[in-house]
Amino acid sequence: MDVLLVERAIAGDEEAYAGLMAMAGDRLLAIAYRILRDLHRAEDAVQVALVNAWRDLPTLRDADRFEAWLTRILVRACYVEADRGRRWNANMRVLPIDLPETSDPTSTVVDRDRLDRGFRRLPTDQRAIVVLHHYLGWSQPEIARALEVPIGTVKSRLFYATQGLRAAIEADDRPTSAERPA
Amino acid sequence: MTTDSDLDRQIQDYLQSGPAELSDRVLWAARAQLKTTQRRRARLAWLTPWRNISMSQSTRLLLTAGGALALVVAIGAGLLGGTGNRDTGHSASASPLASSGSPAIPSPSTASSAPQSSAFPIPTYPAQSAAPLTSAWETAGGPATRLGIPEMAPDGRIWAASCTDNAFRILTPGGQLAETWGPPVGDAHHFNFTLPNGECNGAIAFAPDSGFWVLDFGNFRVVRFDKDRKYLGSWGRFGSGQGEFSHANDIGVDTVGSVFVADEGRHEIQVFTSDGVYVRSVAAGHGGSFLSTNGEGWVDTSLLPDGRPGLTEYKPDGSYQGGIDMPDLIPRPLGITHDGLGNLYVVGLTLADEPGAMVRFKSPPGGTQDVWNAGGIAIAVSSEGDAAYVLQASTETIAKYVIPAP
Repeated sequence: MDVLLVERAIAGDEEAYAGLMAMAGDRLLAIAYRILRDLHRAEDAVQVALVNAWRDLPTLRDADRFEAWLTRILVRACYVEADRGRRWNANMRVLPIDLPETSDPTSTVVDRDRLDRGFRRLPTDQRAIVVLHHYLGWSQPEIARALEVPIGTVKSRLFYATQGLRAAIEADDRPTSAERPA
Repeated sequence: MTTDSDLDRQIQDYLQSGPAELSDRVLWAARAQLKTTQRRRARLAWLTPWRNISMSQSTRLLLTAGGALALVVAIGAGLLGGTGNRDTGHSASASPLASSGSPAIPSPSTASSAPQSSAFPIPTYPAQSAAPLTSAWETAGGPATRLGIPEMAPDGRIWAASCTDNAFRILTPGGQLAETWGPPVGDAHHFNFTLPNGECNGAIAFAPDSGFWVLDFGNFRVVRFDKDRKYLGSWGRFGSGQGEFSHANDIGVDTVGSVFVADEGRHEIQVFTSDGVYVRSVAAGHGGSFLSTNGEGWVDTSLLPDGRPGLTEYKPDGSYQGGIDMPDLIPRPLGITHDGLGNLYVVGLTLADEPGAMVRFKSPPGGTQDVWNAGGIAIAVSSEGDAAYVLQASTETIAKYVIPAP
């Protein structure tokens, strides 16, 4: 990220911030989509995050931390968006993702469906940690620093998320009662 | 059974798929909202080194450094040092009623030689030469004036409590006396800006709608008025309980109407709702004599938590934001105020009680500070930050300085 551009944006330069938005937009959408698993809600979260970041930019002290700081704002916007969606989404059936997928020779469609079901059952705060850790590749201390939560919180959320995903996969592997030998 | 590494790999694979790019529609929608978005005011970049020190950690540091007694001692000698104070109430003298059978409240004067804690990682601001600043005008001074802390009203006029008649002097930005105002003698709300020991002070804080709260120094209370100067209520009395005052010295109000009262006798800043319901205490145990709130509940005060002179900032929830020592800029920082742009102004005295410097810490973060030779004991600034009104210690006057643009 261009630090000078960030500093100009902090000082109130709207054009500079527009440049930052353009640079950060795709990455933000990628993160938000992976947390929310819904393109339209992800776009809404990104839009809210971009506006909130502009509002809060004067409070950013270290321009070098812009990316992590912006990610935190996005994650919070995802929490709000997920909470908003939950109210009217509770009885809706989860539909499979209809987005183009990258080629992935090591993952089967079955694995993906199982993981998808398990992931969608996770609380949003656990999803966020999973995405930051496994998608962005951030270490647990980096996540804790970026989200301004204790490292213990990151560890426990990641642990429970992993447990949840494991359970989702392995539950599907267990034989049903009809399949069990008598 | 799926191994941990297999599961991690599957999760990473699963997370690879997703949308490629953000729609221009979202970017344009966000951009359209920028112009109507009210930006937050900046916090002060120079306080960063303290960001991660919590109140409890700081308190532990204090106690480790010298115990509870040292805390009281350090507080006493910190801001004002107990030397050469004028009698305007901005002093470290004993609580006026403490020696006459009133509630015993620890007095700053119990400490004349304070050990200085070295446990606090408080940064020291580097020395910087002060630029000359010539006053545009100065009120007629002398002992007869005896003024309290000046404050600028939303209409641009400057109010300062006068101890000679317990009323406010209201000055135009041009320095003319526009009016003298206060409830008349005999009225239940008549102010008293002088303590029995002769200390003089009074302060006022304005809401954006021109309603205001008066720190009625000698009556140990806060009196609230609406914009038409109609009495709305009052609270407070001498004491150590919630909502009581020992040596209240300064008052501020934020944009939601929370009222902040700095009490150098109680060593804390009490926060109230606009009608006087006690909310909480900030800087309990080490509150300074002067305060300024930036309007959003952030509070700055001119005393470090270890009792030394300096600047400390507290978050809206009352926890520490940070502190800074400025021995080479202002040895004894006193008056503090914000302009409407978020810049912070501090004035103070030298150790010899001479006018020190006026420092402007510019917003947004990362900005530098300006230093001018325009010190004093209290300050008000215009909302645009282009004029400062400084109460001078030695001459009992208010001087106006035109401030260069940042």
